[in-house]
Amino acid sequence: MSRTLCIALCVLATARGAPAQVKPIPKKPGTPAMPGMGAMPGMQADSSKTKRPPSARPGATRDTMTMDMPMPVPMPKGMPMIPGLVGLLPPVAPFLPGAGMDLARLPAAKPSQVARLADGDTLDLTAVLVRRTIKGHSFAMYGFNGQVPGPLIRVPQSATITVRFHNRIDLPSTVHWHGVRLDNRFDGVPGLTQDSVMPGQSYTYTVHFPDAGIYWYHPHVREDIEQAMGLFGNMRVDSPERDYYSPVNREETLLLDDILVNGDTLIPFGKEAPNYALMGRVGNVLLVNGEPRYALRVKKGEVVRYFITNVSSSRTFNVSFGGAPIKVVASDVSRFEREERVSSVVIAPAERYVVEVRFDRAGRFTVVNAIQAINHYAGEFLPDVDTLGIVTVDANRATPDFATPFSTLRANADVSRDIERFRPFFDRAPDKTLTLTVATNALPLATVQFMNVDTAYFAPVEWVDGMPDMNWLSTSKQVRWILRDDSTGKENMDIDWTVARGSVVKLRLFNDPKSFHPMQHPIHLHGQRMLVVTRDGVPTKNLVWKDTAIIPVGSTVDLIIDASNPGSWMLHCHIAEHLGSGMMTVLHVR
Amino acid sequence: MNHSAWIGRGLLVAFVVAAGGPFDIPLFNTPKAPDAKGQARLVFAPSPFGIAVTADGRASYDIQIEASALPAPSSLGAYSAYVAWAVTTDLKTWNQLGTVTNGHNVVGHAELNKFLLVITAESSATPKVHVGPTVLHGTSPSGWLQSFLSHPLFRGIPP
Amino acid sequence: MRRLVAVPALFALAVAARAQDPGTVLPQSDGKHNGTEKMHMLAHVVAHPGAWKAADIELEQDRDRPYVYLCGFVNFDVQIYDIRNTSAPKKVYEWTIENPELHRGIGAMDGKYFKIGNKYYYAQSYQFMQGSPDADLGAVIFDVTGLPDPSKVKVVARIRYPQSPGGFHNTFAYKHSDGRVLYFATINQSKALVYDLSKVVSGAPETTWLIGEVPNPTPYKQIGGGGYHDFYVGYDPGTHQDKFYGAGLGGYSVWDVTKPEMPKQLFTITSLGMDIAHTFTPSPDGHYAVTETEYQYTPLRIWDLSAGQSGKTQNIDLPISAWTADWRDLSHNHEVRWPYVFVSAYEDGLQIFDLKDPKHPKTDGAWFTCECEHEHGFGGTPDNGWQSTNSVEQGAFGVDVRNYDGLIVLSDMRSGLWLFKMDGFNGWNGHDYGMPNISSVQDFDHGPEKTVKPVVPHD
Repeated sequence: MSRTLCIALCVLATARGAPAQVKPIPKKPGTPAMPGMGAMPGMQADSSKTKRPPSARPGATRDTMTMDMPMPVPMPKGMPMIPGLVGLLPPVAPFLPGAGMDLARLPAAKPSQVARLADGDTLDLTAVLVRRTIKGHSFAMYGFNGQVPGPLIRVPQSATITVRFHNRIDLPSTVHWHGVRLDNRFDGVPGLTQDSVMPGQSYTYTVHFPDAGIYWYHPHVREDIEQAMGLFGNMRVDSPERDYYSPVNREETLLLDDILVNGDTLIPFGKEAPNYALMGRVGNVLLVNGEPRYALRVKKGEVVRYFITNVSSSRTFNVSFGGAPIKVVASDVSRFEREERVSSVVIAPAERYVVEVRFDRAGRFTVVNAIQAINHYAGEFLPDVDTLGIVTVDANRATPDFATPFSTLRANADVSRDIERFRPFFDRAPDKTLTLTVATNALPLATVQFMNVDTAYFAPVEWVDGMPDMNWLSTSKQVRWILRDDSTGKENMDIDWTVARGSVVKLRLFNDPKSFHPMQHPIHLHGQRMLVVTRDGVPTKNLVWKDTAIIPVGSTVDLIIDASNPGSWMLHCHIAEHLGSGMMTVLHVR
Repeated sequence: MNHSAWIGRGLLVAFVVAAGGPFDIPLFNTPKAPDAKGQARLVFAPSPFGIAVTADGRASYDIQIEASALPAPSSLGAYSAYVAWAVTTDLKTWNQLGTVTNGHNVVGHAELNKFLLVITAESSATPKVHVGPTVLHGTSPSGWLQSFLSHPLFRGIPP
Repeated sequence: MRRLVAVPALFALAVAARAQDPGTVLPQSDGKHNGTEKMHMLAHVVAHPGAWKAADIELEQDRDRPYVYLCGFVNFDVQIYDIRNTSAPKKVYEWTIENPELHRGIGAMDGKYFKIGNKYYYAQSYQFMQGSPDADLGAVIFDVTGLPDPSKVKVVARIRYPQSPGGFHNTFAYKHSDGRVLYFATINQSKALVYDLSKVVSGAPETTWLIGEVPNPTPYKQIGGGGYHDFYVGYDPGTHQDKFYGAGLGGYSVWDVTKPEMPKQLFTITSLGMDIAHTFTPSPDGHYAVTETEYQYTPLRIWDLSAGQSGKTQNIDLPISAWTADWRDLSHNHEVRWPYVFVSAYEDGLQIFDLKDPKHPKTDGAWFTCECEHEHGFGGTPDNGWQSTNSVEQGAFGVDVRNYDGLIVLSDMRSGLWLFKMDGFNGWNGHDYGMPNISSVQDFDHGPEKTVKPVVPHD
């Protein structure tokens, strides 16, 4: 949330730092005390739980607050809460996994294991409660088969497997096979393709894998909770072509994530509706494969192929490997037409990228997420680097040496041939257009006031949460994220689009920069594949089949959809809280 | 020097811009080219990720410039071309982007968090340094980012 | 809900700059032309083409240095006029920021001259927006000893404060009782900065220039903070203290800056309607004060500060009287030469009233310099394209008075530089009115008068 507003807080911080003796204004009897600067809650992270009676504070919601909620929300250093928001609570009951359970009795989360399956195999996938320890603090969370990330399902292309899903957590759930163009009946969307799987129940999926690549699976019920708490895993679909990718020394899977904690406490979710609805829940601890620090030891000259998936609720990453050269080779549903050198990997929630990295000298390579945050108090950009892990490179040289194939930027002619038949559609007028916007209702007054005092600049991508308190207090009861059909004015699930099977659909998406809170949206289409053909009128020169595309603020993005898979398919923003706030519709392919 | 006219226009349009899109840069002329008009738009440089950023997260933009009524460079002196620059706000670093003529131009890449877009007349299409006069100029949308304490609300002017 | 663009509203002046093309005859307003009988307009200089001509003004006091400094506002320049012939001011020097076309901001706002040793200097404050070059520039210091020879005027220093982009809106050069010449400056933070000017002009390391900060203790309630707009610094011979009278967001405050490195808060003036405190000037003995708050329809308020000065109260919340030129309008800055108050009163031009009876201010003279249409000053919103349709903030911006002969100079945003005399006012010395000889005019050679003079009796 990059609104202008930590300012008052920072003003307080500034005044607090003044050297001279500042006397507060003398109070007349009955005058409400002005917030004493030193005593302002939020000045420092407070990990203690504070019990707050529902009616403790005038103006606070009277909705149920039956559980201790740690107060306040973690704020960036030097950024206290907006005075008008102090003491307020989001109008939802708090929820945390395993509430009331003895944490010590939960099984410890295990690292992901590979489930190598052949055509016709069956996998039991059970969502359970686990105990995860992150930076010395233990939390009750979820995991598939007790693993976080969930099992890496590895199958050959064209295989069909059976997955028996067992729900052993405390919420209804399903499993969605993200990016896989499978039979619609098994897409895992409650209310559309199935009912929710209630706790204690099971459901059987038949999953067919028509496309090679890297995919992931996750719940499609309250993703803001279940996915955030650990229910996710990868699927690797191996092409029968031996040289589908270049030869490398090893392959690694990276699932990028984050988690929001306040010391030893998870920040509760909203029980009946998501909180953090404005910007999504952006964590303050970054994770790779469920851990705060990734480590790998390789030999000098090794080429490592990374399959990278962003499983976070809202964060877009910009990952690099300590200056080691990177080549991007594939994304969601296919390889690129041409491999490309890149300096870093920009990956939005739900996207996948396959990259190859060559560690060409001995030493330590720091894997980082490096972004430019915006300090709205100062009106300046602020470099923000988080270390994700370390790759230690031995002096011993790797064999075989794949320097040459690494330096070769392959052109994948088969991908280009496949795309060729869609090119006639690139320049035609859009068949459908959607505007991405938002509507709000009954947000706290201070939030509305400060959001309306807007800057003249909207960053195309918000990399961090610039206003955690406003974000935390916003729920999907007050925020409605919108996909609006420009031709009919209908929004979200009221949009009724049906296209013929086998048709090619050009969809234009416009992210309205004049909305109340413009921010980027990773838009995901179930069950089909799509091409991002133009961004802001500029044709994409190196195409790749996608199922998720990021739409920056103010951008107009044109997609070509290969609507070949029949069924009713969700189209939605993959920021979990935005999805939970309504930003979804259905595309019927008949 | 009469600054009022172009300063006033510049500030005015800046505010109009502030209400426009996040990628638009209106260009203001100078007394050297009082009839020149221009508008620039940022587009992300080609990237396989759709969003082009550097390894440290700075956005990388190509800049589309629509210019009209630029006089012949030679009419301003010993100049033969107009060159676009992305300039740091302290005016210390001038990154050459490319040449500009009347009509549609695409120059790039600008990889600065905040920058001025400046078009000067130069004696070469690829000068080593800028020496010629400014004919058109603008500010990146991010250049409008302000300390919140400069907001009227905090400076004694009610909203 | 209406959305505002968070850029300083003063920048919207540029709209008017465009709305009024150079040379357009400004419509006349309400018959406010010329002045009252006692007032004599000596000279009027347009100063700049275009709609916006000047911000503040500064007048040197020495008899052999007849110089006026006109701050160029959005013209980004400063002009120096030789006014030995008060009927025909002659521009002798002009300086503009480098690369002006690339700058954005309200530009040259406030100027103060000062003297160190036998050298004279002028500090021109600047305000450029973030994203503009020189957003960290607060002031440019000129050595003006060699005037009227322009070739001898040199830039000797630039004061920058990168921690708070946006420059210095208002400044005050003060000859401290300890002999130092100090420079107080507003910034876009909840404090004023204090510089030692001898370090600035001597080429001392920049890290030694800033010697203190005066916080704003009156937080703007709605937003929990806010900076100073303007201030006055003067010596109190009764208490032997150097005192800072600050007008900041949220109200007014008085500080003991005898040790400017460690200011001590004395008392405040806060009450309803005080949130946008703009200007604060005491009487020479600190007994009374004149304040301005920046709202249309707001009069100047006159206060009895004795309870605060004596420590009896920490906050004063009730004025003793008020004055306005026209209830529909707003005043801007003022200079106190007790009992006279000289006001640059926006649409009402130069106004002079006296506080011989502080509870009953009386207007002595006026001259209408704006020649503008009522409520057509800068302002507006993005909704109306920042068209100035309803602001009275146009016209007379700054005023200064020459103590030795009573010459009055005024800067008008719309019309430029003006020189006046008023019958019966041929100079000012506080002793003539039973006061210390203390005003905004500094005795840079000897320092502030430290002798206690009889205090004007009050009820």
